[in-house]
This record gives sequence, structure tokens and C-alpha cells, in this order.
Amino acid sequence: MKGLIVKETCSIYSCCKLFLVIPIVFYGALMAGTLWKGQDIAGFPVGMIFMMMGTIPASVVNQEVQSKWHLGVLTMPYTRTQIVSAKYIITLIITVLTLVVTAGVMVMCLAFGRGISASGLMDIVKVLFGGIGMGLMPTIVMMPTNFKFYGTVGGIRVAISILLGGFIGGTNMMMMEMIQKDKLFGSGFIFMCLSVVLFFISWGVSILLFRKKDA
Amino acid sequence: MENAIEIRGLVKEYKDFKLDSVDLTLPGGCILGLIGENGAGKSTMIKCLLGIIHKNEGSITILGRDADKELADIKEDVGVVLDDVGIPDTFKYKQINAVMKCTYKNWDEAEFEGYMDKFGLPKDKKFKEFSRGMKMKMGIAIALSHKAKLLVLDEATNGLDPVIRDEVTDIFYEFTRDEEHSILISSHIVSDLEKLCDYISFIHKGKVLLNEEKDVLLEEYAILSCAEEDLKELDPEAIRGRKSGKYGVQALVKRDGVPAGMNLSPVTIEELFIFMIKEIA
Repeated sequence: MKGLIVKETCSIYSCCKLFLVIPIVFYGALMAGTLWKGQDIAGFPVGMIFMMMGTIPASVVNQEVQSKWHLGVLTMPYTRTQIVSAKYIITLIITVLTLVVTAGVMVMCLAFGRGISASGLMDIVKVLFGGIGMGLMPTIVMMPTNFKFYGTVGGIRVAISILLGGFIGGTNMMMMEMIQKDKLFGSGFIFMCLSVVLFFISWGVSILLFRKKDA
Repeated sequence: MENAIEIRGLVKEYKDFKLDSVDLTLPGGCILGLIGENGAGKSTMIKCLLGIIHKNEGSITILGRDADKELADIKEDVGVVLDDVGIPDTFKYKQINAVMKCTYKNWDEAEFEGYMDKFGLPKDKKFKEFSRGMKMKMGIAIALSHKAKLLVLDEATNGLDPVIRDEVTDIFYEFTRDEEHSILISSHIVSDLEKLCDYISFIHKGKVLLNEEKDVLLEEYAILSCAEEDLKELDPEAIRGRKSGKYGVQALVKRDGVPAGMNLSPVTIEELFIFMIKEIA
């Protein structure tokens, strides 16, 4: 299992560097808005950061299929459950890392902007609840599709991913705005809890699909 | 000594192809060559063996363990080289080593580095920048670096130049000097298999036509060159294939079915294979 996590990490480092630039741009925008313009922390860029980072594990699948890793990995001492689980575990790791860094940046924005206050911190927590949900969403939706069509270059897998990506992007805009206006344990918290439940359902579905799949 | 591989009644069905009730045995410490034309079912059988695709029926035992129950554990002791090596394109030596080190309990870093040097593989190039031959060499280096007891090689010598192929053949030979080590190898290059294998298995349209010790095959069969009329006098059971030409007929025959004094010459595995396939066709 450890080898699969190392492989995911190496793949992300070697083929998803651009994804790591995107949060930097959004962090920049967040800081510019709050520190120089004195605006409130916006939920949309935070949701985008989590969402983009959450897309990484699903994006690595393209590289895997092109290089036939999906065949190579099945010659190694891993069960199909472990192969699927590595993707979900890496999503959790990425989401936690994004959470820590984003929380740090937001607290910094608050401290050097409006100043730290209880309501300001509550706003950050609300947005982060929503962010966690957005971070898990790409894996929830795209991973079962990927494992259903694992081994297919382009075609239906990519088409479905693009459609679902658009859907998640639209959800981000709608959700994050609503979450910011709501109370602390309101829609953001519910969205996060729902996402966590769906995440584990998606994990199980992917395992079932991949167990039946001929590579 | 236990068999390295035992396949019984293996069936894999597709819309247009069926691997039909395949039985195959690879005795421990031996090399078995799987010969068949394109689409005969060699790769399908190997993929079933490794669990890459699911079988419809049959049982598979690898190194004395049931593949249905313990496949992942069994693979610790199996080195595999497929036609597509299956390493991420962007990986370099360092990353491949890091992944394999965490994948195989018995991964030997020094041995891997040794094979990299031996095969002249660059450590600073991405896998996608490798030639086909280099990719195959990398696959072989990985398969040999984790103390595997069984090597499964699907067209592993394809794309290698003759000098390296000879070198790799020697490495495989060396590998089986340990009597616990076995190899299942499929290839189009029958001459490689003839040099290397103890057992030969012919597969044609999803069926195993023959699974026999190489020396027994070479002893049992011969090429008979004679006139068409002479051939008609022979027991039809003794004739396994024929080829007519300008100067008479050549037939693959069983030596014990041919009367003494006839013009028999030794058969090669390649000839044996071609005659048998043509006879069926």
C-alpha cells in the first residue's frame, strides 16, 4: 500500500505541477482582496482551491492509462481494493494539507486585514467546512467513473469527467455563497458531512466496480 | 518439487474469442515457452494467471498457492514483464526505485542499480524518453530485482537487439540455475524459446495443442522428405503436418510411425509449430 501512495505522490509531483500553481494564484487574490482592499474573505476562491486540489487524484488516472500503469500495477503485490483505496487516501491527504495551508492563509489575511475576531474566525470555519466538501467532491464524482472505464484512453471517461467537472464548478459558486451567509453549523457544515458520507460511499462503489473490471 | 504453475480447465470468453479449457503445468525449476501466433490467446492466458482479467472458469495455482485466494501475496514472488511495461511515463530511475522499494518486501536496490548499469539504462531520463528496447530492459531489471521465484514474461524479448537478447537469455538461464526458480515465457521469436526452454506449449485459437518437454518433442518428431506416393503408404496417425513443394513433399512425422530407412531429418521447434498450425488451418 505504501508503494501506491509513493507512486501517487511521485505522479502528482511530476505531472500535476500546474495544479499546485493554481492555489498560489487564488491565495494571492484572497490576500489582495482582504489586505489591500479590506474586503471580507470570499468563499468562492477558497472553494476553487479545494476543488482544484481535489481534482488532482482523478487527473493522475489519465497519465496512468496512457503509460499502461493500470496493467503494470496489477502485476504487483496489491489487491484491487488497495489500488482503489490509494486514490481515496491521497485525496484525504491532499484535502487535509489544503485545509491546513488555506486556514493559515485565511487567518493571516484576517490578522493583517480586519483583525482577529470571533466572528471573523467563525466565517473562516464556515468557509473551510464548505471547502472540505468541495475538495472531496471531484473524487466522489469522478473516481467511480474512472474505475468503471479504467484503461480507456480519452473517450467516454474524459467526456463524463468534463461534464462532471462543470457541474462541480457550478456547485462551488452556488454553495460557497450560500455557506458564507448561513450560520456556523448551517449549510456549510451539512454540506461537509454529506460530502464525507458520499466520499465513503464513492470509495465502496469504486472498489466494487474495479473488482469486476478486466484491465 | 512442487509445480510453479498449475492451470486447470481455464476458460475466458469474449464475444469473438474463447480461451477454451486450458490445462498447463510448469514444473518447478523449469522454463516453459508459450508459442502461438498473434491472437492465439497467450497474453489472455497470462493476464488470467496474474488476475489482470477475470477468468470464467478453472483453477490456477501459483507456487503451490491458490491464486483465487492469495494472488496479491503470491505476486511478491513473481516477477512480471508484459509487452507494455506499465511504468508511468514521467518517472525516472529514482522514482521507480522509490515506488518498488515500498512495493516489494524483498526489493534489492543494489541489484536494481546493477541491472541498470548492466543494461546501460540512463538514470536521468524519463521513462517516456526510453526506446522500446530500453523499456523492456527496465521491465526485466525490475522483475529480477525483488528475489522472485517465478518470472512471467509476455513477449519480453521483443524490441531487443540480438546482442542484448542473447545477454537477457543468459540472465534468464542463470535465474533458473536455482532449482526453486521457474520461468513462463511467451514469445514470437521461437528461436529464443528453443534455446531457453525445457517445456514447450503450443497454443492456437485459445486451445493448448501440445504441452511437452522440449527434448521429448525433438526426439519424437522429425521431418520426412519424400515423394507424395511414399507418404501415402505411411500410417496417417504418424503424420502431423505436410508441405508440398517442387521436389516432393516434406512432412512432420512421429519417428516411431515411420519405417526404418526413410529420409528423416531433425525438426526444430519452429518447424514443429509451423507444420502443426498449418495442418490445423
